[in-house]
Amino acid sequence: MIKVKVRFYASLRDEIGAGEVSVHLNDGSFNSLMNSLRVLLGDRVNRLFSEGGVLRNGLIVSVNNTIIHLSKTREVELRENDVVDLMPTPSGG
Amino acid sequence: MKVKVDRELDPLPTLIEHLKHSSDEVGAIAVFVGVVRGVSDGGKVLKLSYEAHEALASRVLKDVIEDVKEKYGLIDAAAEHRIGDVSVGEDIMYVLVASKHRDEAYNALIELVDRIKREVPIWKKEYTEKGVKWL
Repeated sequence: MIKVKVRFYASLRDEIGAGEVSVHLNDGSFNSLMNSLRVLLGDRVNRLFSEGGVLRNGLIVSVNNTIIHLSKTREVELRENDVVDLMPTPSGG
Repeated sequence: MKVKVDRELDPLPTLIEHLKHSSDEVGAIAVFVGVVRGVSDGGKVLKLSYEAHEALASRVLKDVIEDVKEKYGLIDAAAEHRIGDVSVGEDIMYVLVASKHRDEAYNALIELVDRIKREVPIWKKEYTEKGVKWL
């Protein structure tokens, strides 16, 4: 099992009702993480995924403070104690 | 290049002087100042509150500036953005670009401000008389 930390920012944190969660994964794939979040968050996970089950456009994903383009998440191999950040579309300025 | 994501902005004249002295070739400096509007959707704004991904925001800001600098052949640029509570009428963000001539400064400034708003992981929460919401 691999333990990773997932942090939520700004509106995502409020809508999900948690700033961070710890998730135990059977393997290090990003898909495995997304499946675990579906189970852990229940209906609240709809804020992260579109109806097609893919991460919503505009979300920002980073792993250990490196931004991962949404089209490249399949290439991610998570390791023990990695930190995954899920962020809404920026609204600065 | 100067970037900052923090509770306080540096004084604008200091940033202008910094760019002015970055090269003898500087012939134009264009400046954008983002300010908290007092009205939103017809309601009175009380304040905005900004949150950033602290490790990423400055890095993305730097990357965006590098891109725009290269695209427009800028001599130098700077951008600063506040986090935390910002009251109505206060400055939120300074974006400055320095170039040889004004045309590239105008165009680069527009693109740089747009990209900062779109790409840098900073978010704002609006407090109005009607309630509170993330924008």
